[in-house]
Amino acid sequence: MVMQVIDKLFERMSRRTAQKMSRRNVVATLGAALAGASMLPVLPVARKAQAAEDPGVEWAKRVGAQTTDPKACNYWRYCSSDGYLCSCCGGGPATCPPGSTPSPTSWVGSCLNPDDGKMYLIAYRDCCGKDSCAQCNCLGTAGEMPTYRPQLNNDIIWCFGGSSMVYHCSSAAIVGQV
Amino acid sequence: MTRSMASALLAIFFSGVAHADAAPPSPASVDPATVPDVLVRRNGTVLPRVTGAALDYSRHCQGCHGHLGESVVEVPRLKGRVGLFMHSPEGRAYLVQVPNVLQAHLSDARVAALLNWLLHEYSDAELPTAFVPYTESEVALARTHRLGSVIDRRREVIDGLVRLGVVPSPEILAFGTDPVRY
Repeated sequence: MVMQVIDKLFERMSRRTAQKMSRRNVVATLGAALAGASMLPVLPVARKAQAAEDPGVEWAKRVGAQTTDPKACNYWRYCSSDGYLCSCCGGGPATCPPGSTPSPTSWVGSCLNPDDGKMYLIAYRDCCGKDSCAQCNCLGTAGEMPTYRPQLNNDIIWCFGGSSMVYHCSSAAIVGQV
Repeated sequence: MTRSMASALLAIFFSGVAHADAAPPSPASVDPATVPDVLVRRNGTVLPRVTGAALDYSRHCQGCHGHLGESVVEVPRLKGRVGLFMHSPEGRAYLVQVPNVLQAHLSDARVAALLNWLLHEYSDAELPTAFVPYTESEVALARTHRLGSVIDRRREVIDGLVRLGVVPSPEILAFGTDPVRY
């Protein structure tokens, strides 16, 4: 009984559609639908998936980034740090060891914090004015460019502008949330 | 009816795209309690939320120019003076043609947004009253011209601004410590 009613309803609907709509209309609708589908990849959802390609995210996955030990190379903030960790030299991840001073210029990158899955801006600021610390040498290269693009290269001693060009260690201060 | 439905759907798609492109409103700060970093919480460090053109500035300019638009003498100061370049067409082009803007790993549209953001952020008072923001096409055109010597060009542009009466003397826009040379 119910099936018959539904059957009738659908029959009437499809007959009416067949009478009202031309075949060209079908082609036009299909075309519009196709054009609409091509817009899908630029939707914010798709962009979020692309954001996973970020070099900071890639680094965090590869090294198993952690948030508890700032004396280890895989501490989450060090994704673009190249040099001796100030944490191993008598300072902290964002503080210079006694006797050295933070450079007024820095290299800014972004790293993934594995605890909340958010990206944070990190300023890699060299501590200068004291002999090389030579402890905990770590090499993070997320987002780094070759040396001929010096503004995005971390092999360079970032002490310029300060009172001394002597490199001691590298610090990594959080300066913002992306 | 089906056609209007399809166009309505398309309109939704496009509005979604436009919304994604617009710089999201950036809250002034991030509560340290929500940041999963022991040191940030212990020190009560308040982090700014950085998005859109401000994020591009952070990643491509801030390291040397500073987050307040001023840094060491080796790096030209933006704060309180970069807007003066907007008083001549040569100055507008020059700002796009300085090497690290010209060669930045950013699209023309993002460079336009970045320049408009930093001009208002660091030098709003120095902008001409009828300041016209950079557009993608203006940046694209200016980027096709590579400067021979950035220092010679800077000098020419600044001399032009002095002649126009925008600045009383070239020292105001001097680069570094040697105003005679730069």
